[in-house]
Amino acid sequence: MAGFLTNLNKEQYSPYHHVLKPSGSGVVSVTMTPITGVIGSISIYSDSIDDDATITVKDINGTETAGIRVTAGNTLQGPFTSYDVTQVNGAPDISIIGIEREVSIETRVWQKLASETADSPLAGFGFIDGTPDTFKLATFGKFQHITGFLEVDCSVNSGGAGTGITSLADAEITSISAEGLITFQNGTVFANDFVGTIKYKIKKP
Amino acid sequence: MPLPGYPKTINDHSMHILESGQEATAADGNHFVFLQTHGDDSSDWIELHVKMPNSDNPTETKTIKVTSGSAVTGPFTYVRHNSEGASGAGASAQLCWTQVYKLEA
Repeated sequence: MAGFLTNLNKEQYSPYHHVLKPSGSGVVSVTMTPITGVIGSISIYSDSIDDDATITVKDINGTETAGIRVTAGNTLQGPFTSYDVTQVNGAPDISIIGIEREVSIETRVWQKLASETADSPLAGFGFIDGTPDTFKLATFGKFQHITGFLEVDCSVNSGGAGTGITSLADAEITSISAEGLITFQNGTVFANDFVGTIKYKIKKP
Repeated sequence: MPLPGYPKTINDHSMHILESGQEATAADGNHFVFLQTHGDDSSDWIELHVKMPNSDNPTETKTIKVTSGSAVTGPFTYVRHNSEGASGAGASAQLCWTQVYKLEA
């Protein structure tokens, strides 16, 4: 049966960079899964000091402060237990870099078989036909998927992406969410009977 | 009373200065801890290309535009002062620098 295949490695990082670069232009609303952990600082960068980001943070007592606006070139100093970016003024050149003090990351591999086409191995998991097609990986407990890394290595694929390794840097893969939902470019780049492995990373809480 | 922990010799801490088009790559297993940008005008910006080993994709070159005077905390394994420019009225030729700091073992 396809599904979770193996742990490749587990690595400890201290500190860890979370880099967010919102797309769009001008003033852009941002939808993201809040970054949780022990966050040391959040810095805003852009090509103009008139740009800014709107950030919601929780302090170490769990008290949430919403809507702090931070201009480019400045840093919101923690510690925080989570942060969420809700809007930026200055996309696409604005970057928000959060620094988490310590992170444990596991690299895992999911196996995809030809016989498991849609909603497999369970309903709502694996390949989900649609426009665009999506692929749902399992999430264990409070683990969050790393949204900046994904590799799909196909040995058989009649879709437009072909065989070999396709990564997030390629147009055929749009994103992977913190909940483990992979969104492909459209409904034709990966056939639902493709054969291969999916390498992904998860962050322990 | 002297403060403990301050670098005692010039070899404790090294620093490179990059201008437009220049880059620095850390030796294997080493990294840069910090970078600081400078310019002659607060409306100047610098486009940095960096590799962050402690991030989602350590081998990816990330592009970050920063205004002059900004600092970015590492670790980095690669830093390039790729280009520079100015925003707003009075934009003209830029004079920007990036300082890259490395702790010595």
